[in-house]
Amino acid sequence: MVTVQRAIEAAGIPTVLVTLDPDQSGVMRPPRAIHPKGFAFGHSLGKPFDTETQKAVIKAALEQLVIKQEPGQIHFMDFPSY
Amino acid sequence: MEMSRKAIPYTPNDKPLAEMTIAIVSTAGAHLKDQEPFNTQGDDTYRLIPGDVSSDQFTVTHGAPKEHYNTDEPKKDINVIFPIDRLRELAAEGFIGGVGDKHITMMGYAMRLKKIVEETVPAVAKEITRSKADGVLLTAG
Repeated sequence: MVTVQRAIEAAGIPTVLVTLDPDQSGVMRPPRAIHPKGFAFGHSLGKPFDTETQKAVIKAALEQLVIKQEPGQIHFMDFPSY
Repeated sequence: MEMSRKAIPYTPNDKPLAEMTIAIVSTAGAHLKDQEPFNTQGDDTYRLIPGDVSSDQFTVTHGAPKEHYNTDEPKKDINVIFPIDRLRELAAEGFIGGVGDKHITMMGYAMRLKKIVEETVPAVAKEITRSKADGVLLTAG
């Protein structure tokens, strides 16, 4: 996944990854990433039909695109509504 | 650590989110029901998802063991891995400028890594740079 992200970023388009596996993603050094803590695989953005959590995760991820930062970090985040 | 991993690509972004068109790239195995399913033994291809797609046109095919990744969940609501409805809502609210005219899906479980790195990944990057997207949200199962 991060390989795809890095290629798009290198082509000049800013990217942000939502990862549930920060250990594996971290090795590959993503340009920008968040990790929603405690989410099950298959719930990348929240549970089915939980639009509130889904939207909160998407917003938190997209906000990384406008926050200047050192690339290669994965921001761990809590989403209590999950 | 390899040199190539030390240098992290980073494209500075000066646009506010409200002016950005966002595309989705997901390696969680989502695809349209009328597209060829991913090969669960390993698949180095990608699916092009048109911008006007409806969320009920999707299904999910992924080779990971069910205890690691239960695809029943995104089959109920594709937005958990491919948030097309949520992005449209965020565009309607003005949080983002718009939703991309094409999106990309893959299955993040593939054996032929060399072919993926040399052929699939550059092809995906080219699809995105030739689209209207000026930002990408990635999900990985």
